[in-house]
Amino acid sequence: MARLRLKLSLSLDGFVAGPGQSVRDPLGIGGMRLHEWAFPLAAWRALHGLEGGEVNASSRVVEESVAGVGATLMGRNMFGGHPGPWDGRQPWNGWWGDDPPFHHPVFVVTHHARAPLHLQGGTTFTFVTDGIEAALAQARRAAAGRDVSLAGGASIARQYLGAGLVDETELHLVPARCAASVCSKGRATICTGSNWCAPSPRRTSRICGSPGADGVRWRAVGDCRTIPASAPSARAGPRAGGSAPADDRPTGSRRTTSADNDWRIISAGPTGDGAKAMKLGQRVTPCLWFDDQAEAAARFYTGIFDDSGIDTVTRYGEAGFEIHGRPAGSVMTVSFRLAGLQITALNGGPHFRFSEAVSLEVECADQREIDYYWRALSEGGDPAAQQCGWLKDKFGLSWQVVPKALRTCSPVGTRAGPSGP
Amino acid sequence: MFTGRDQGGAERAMTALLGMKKLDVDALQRAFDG
Repeated sequence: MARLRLKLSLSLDGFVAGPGQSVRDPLGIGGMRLHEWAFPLAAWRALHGLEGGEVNASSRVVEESVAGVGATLMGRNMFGGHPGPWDGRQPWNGWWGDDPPFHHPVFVVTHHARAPLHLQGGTTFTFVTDGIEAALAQARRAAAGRDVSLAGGASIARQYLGAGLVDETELHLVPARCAASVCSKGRATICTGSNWCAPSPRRTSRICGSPGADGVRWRAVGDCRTIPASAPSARAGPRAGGSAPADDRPTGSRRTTSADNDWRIISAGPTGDGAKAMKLGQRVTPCLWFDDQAEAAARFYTGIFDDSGIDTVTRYGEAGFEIHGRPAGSVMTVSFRLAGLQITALNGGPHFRFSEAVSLEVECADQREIDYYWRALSEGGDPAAQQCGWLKDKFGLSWQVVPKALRTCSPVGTRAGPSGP
Repeated sequence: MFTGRDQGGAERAMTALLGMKKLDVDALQRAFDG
C-alpha cells in the first residue's frame, strides 16, 4: 500500500510556523525562517518553476521528498483563508497562486464542505469533511500506487500521528527557536497536548547534516502506536468507576497502547525554556460539568473552531454505581482540544449548572470573525442571555465574543505585569 | 483601532459596548473616536 509520508520543517522547540498567520505572513510571523534552508536549492526552485539555484547536501532531501508522491494531504489552516465556512463571495484559493507547486491531487481536511478547486498544472484541491481516514483513503486512491505526502500543518499532523497512520516521518530541524512570548497560545506547535511517538531508534534510516538544516528520517515498520498523554485512570472524574479509553475522535482515528513502545518524543512547545518547556502538555485544563451532554457539547464546540477535535472518551463502569448512578458504558469524560486548548467535559449529573460567573472568551480579529463565532455559538441558545458580547450556548455555557483590539481598551488604563490592575 | 491613551474614548467605547448584544466593531470605533 502507498505510504503516508509526513515531512515538516520545525524549530528546535517544536514549531512548524510562527504566530499571526495572515495573507501577508502565510507561515506566521517569522515562520519563513523554518524553510530558508530550501529556498536557494535548485531542486526547490524547479518545483516552483524557477531556474538556477544551489546544489548541496539538502538537495537530495528535497528531491526525495517529492519523488514517488502522487497526492498530498493538508489541514484547513495550511490551505489558509479564514476560519469557519468558506466565503462564496471572496473564495480563498490557497497561498500558492494559479499554478501551485503540487501538480497532483491535494486533499484538504476541513469541517466545511466546498466544491473541488481545479488550478493550473494538474493541482486539484478536494475538500474532505468526513475525517482524516476518509481523506487518506481518497488520497491513496488518487495517488494510484504512489505515496501520499502529509504536508501539514501542525494540527492535522498531530491527528495523523496520533492515529498511527503515518508510515514515514521526515523532519527538517532548523537551528532556531520560536520566542515563547509571542507564541503563548501555541497553536502552531506540533506537540502540545499530545505525545508524539516514533518507532524504535533502530529504524532511523537517515540523518542528513547540512549547513542550513539537519534532516532525520524515522521509518515505521508495522504499528506506529501512541500512548495517550493522560492515562484514562488519571482522567477519571470525582466519582470514577472503571473506565476504558474509547475511540471517539470525530476523525475516526484509533488509539492504541503498547508496552513495547519504549520511547516517545514529548514536547509542550511554547511554554518556556529548558526543562520547563518539556512538561507534559497543558498543566491547567478547564473541566466543564454537564448533566449528560458532555459528548454532544464537545462535538458542537469542536465543529466550530479550527485546530479542534475530540481526543479521548472515558466511560462509567459498574463499580461505584451506588455513588455515581450512571449507567455502565455511558460517557463519563470527553477530552477535547478547542483552538489548541485542552478541555475536559464531564457528565456529572444534574447537580450543578453553568452560570455567567465562568465564561470562555473568544478573541476575534475582525467583525467577520465576531459574526461567525456569535452565530455558531449562539445557535439554539437563549437569546435573552445575550448582552455586551456575551452569550449562552444551548448547553448553558457562557462565551464572550470580543474583538482582539478591545483588550487594550480600558477606561482605567492597562498595565502589564504582576503589579497591574 | 482603539489605540492611544484616550481615556475618554475608552469610556465611550465601554458605554457603547454595554448597550450591545453582539459587538459591532465599527460602532465601538465610532464611539471611541467620539
